[in-house]
Amino acid sequence: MIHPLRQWFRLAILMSLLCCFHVSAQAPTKSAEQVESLKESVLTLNRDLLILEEELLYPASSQVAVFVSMDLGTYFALDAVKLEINNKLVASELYTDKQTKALFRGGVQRLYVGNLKTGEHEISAFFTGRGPQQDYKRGAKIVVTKNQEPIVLELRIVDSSAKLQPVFEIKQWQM
Amino acid sequence: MRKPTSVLRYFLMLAAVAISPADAKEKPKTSVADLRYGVALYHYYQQDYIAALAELMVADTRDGIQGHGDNPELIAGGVSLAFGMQHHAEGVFNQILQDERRPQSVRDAAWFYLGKLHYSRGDWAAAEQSFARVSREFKPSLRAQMQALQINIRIRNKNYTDLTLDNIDRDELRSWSPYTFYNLGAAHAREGNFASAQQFFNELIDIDVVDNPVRRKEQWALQDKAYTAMGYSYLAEKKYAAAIREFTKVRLDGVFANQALLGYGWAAVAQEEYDEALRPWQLLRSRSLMYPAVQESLLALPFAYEKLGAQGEAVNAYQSAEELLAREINLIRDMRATLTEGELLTLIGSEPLSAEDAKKVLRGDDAEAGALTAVVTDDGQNWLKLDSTSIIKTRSAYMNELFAKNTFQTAVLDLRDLLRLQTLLQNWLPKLDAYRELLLQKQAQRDRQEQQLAQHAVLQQEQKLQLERATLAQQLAQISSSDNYMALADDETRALYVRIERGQQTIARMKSAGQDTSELETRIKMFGGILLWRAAQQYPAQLAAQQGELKSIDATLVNIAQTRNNIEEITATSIDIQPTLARLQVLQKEVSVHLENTDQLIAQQSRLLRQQVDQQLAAHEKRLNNYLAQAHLAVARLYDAELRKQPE
Repeated sequence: MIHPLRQWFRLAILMSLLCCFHVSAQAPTKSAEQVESLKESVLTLNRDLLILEEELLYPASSQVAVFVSMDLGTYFALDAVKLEINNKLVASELYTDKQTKALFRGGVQRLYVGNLKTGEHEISAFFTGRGPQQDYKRGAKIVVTKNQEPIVLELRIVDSSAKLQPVFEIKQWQM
Repeated sequence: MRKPTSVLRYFLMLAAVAISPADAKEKPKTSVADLRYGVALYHYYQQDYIAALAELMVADTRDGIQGHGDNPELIAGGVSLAFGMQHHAEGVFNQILQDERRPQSVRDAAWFYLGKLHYSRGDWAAAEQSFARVSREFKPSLRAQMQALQINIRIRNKNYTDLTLDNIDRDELRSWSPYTFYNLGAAHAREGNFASAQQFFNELIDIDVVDNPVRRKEQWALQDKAYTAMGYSYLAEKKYAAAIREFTKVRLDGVFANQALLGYGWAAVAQEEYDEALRPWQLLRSRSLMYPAVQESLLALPFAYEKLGAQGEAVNAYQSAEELLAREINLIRDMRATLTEGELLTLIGSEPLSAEDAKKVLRGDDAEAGALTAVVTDDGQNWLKLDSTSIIKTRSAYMNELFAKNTFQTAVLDLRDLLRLQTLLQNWLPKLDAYRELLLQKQAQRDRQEQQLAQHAVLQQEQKLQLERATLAQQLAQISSSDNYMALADDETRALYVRIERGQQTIARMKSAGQDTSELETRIKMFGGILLWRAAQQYPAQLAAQQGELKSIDATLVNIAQTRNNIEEITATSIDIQPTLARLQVLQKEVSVHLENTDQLIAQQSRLLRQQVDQQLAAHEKRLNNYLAQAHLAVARLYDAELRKQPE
C-alpha cells in the first residue's frame, strides 16, 4: 500500500525529471517592456550626456586621448602602465586579470583623455609586467606637436617573434 | 551542470558571447582599425554592457565605426541581448537582414540570433522560420546549437516521433548531443513511451565522458539525471528490479541522489521488500531537510517500519518528523519575515564578485554566520543565492525552484540593471551641476574678453606701437645711411654742436659784412671737429642701443598680436555657451525625470520580486504543514491502535 500523496509525489518527481533542457520560454511581460523601454531611453540620454561632456571638457582643438592595446600573449603579462606628459604623471593603471583578458581578446582601453596647449609635448609611457623568463619594466616615448586637431595615441604592446620578447611602442593616429 | 531551466538572459547571452569576433584560444586578435570599436569590445568583454553600448552609440552618432565591416552592428545586437534589450537587438538584426548586400556569414549570424530571440519568447513558428534561413556554411559550433533548438521545437510541437537514434547526426550536434538525447528521452517518457525513452537515455549514458573538468561535471550530472529518470520510468512500468538497478547507478554525492534514494525505497516497497526500503530512506533521512525528497522520507521511513511491524520505531520516527518539521516551518516563517523588499534590493545591488570570491563566500570562508549573502558572479550570469550557514543553505534550497524560473531570474536581472541605471543617473547629477558652473564661468570670461575687444584696447595699443616702431626704424635708417653721428650723440655734445652751428652762421654774417674771420673760422672748425669726433666715438654704442629699442618694440608687438589672436581664437572656436547651457539644462531635467521613473520601476519590480519569493516560501510552508498534519495523524493512529490492543 502506498499512500496517495506518495503517488502524487512520485509523479511530480518524474515530471520534474522529464523537463527538457532549453525548452522553456517567456513571452515579454508588460513590466519587462517597461524596463526595456527605460533602458533604451536612459542609454540614449547617457549618450547625449557623454557627447556634451566631451565637447565641454575636451574640445577637439585641445584634446589628447591615449589608448592601450595588446597584441600578444606569449612574452608579456601586463601588470601596470604609467603615462606621463611633459614629465608629469597624468594616468596610471594597475590591471586586473579581467582587464588584461579583455585587452588580449582585442579590447582597447581608453587610458587617458585630457587637454594640451598648442606646441610640442613629450609623452612617455612606462609598462611593467612579467615575461616567461624575466620581469619587464620598459618605456616608450614620443614627441607630438599639438595643433587644432585632437591628438590620439595608442600605446601598443606586441609580441616580437623575431626578438622573442615584447615590444612597446606608441602609435599616433591621424585624425 | 547546465541548469535545466537556465536563465533566459544567459541563454540569450550565449548568443552574444558567440558573436564576439575574436576567440582568445582559437584566434589571436588583430589590431583594431577604429579605436572606438576596441574600446566597446574592452567593456563588453568585462560585461560592462552600459559602457560598451555607450561607446557604440556615441560612435554611431558621429561618423560611425570605420574599418570593421558588420561587426559593430553584430556586437551592438549581442550587447543589447546581454543587457536584456531584446527589442533593440531584434531591430539591429532585422536592419542587418534588410540589406541584401551583407555577406552570407553576417546574414547567417543575424538569422540565427533572431531565431534564438523568437525561441526564447516561445514563438516557435517564427524561430523555425528564422533558423531555416541559416545556410549550411554557418559556423559549425553555432549550427550544432541551432539544430539542438530545432529538435526542441519539434518536441514542443509533438513532431519528434520520426527522430530516432539512426537518423540523428551526433557529429553535427557536437556538444549538444547529450542534451538532445535527454530531451528526446524525456519527451518519450512523458508520452508513456518508456522503451523509446530508455533508448535515448542509454545513448546519452554511453557517450564518453569528456576531458574538460567543467563539461565532465555537467555530463556526470546529466547521466545521473538520465539514470534517475529511467528509474522512475521503470517504476511507472512496474519494473521494480530494473528501477532499483538504475537508481543504484546514480552518484551519492550528485544532485539527483536524493530523488534516486527515494525512488529506490519506493521500488523496494512496491516489491514488499520493506527492509530493503529502509536502507536508502534512512540514508535520505540523515540528509538536510531542505530537499523535498528528504521531507518525503520523514513519512516514508515510519511507513516502512509500520509495514515491518515495528510500531515503536514508527512512532518514534513520526514524532521525530513532527519535531523537525515544526522547526523547519519556523525557519521558513523567519525567512519570510527577513526577506523584505529592501533586503532583496540590497542583495541584488551588491557588488559583483569574481568567480573565485564567490566560491569563498559560498564555502562560508568570509561570511558572518547567519548573515544573508548575495553572490552575484561576474561571468554573465546573475545568481541570487542566500548562503553562509547550514540554516541559510537550508533556506536557500527552498528558493532553488524559484531561482530556476525564467520569470524570477529575468526579474532579478532587470532589477540589477535598473539599479545600475539608477547609479548611472545619480552620478550624472553632480557632474552636470559642475558643468553648468563651468559654463557660467566661461560665459563671464567670454563677456570680459568681448568687452576688451569691443574697446579695441589691444588693437589700439598695437597700432600705436607699430607707428612708433615705423618712425624709429625710419630715423635709424636715415642716420645709418648718412652716418649722422651727431643725431645719436649725447645731449651735451648736441647742445655744444648747436652752438658751433650758430657760431658758423655768425661768422658767415661777419664775413659778408667784410670782417676778417679767418682765426674764428679756424677755431670753430677745430671745436666742431672735436665734437664730431666725440659723437663718432659714441655712435656705434648709441646705434646698437637704438636698434635694441627697435627689437624690444618688435617683441612687444608680437606679444600683442599673440594676445589678440588668442582672444579671437577663443571667441571663434570655443563652444557657443548659451546654446550649450540650454542643452545642458534640458539634459539635467531629463536626468531628473528618468531618475524618478527608474526609482518607481525599481520599487515596482522589487515589490513583484518580493511577492514571488514570499509565494514560493508560502508554498513550502504549506507543504511542510501538510507533512506535519500527516505526521500528527499517524502518531494518533498508532497510539489509537496500540490502545485498542490493550485489554480493557
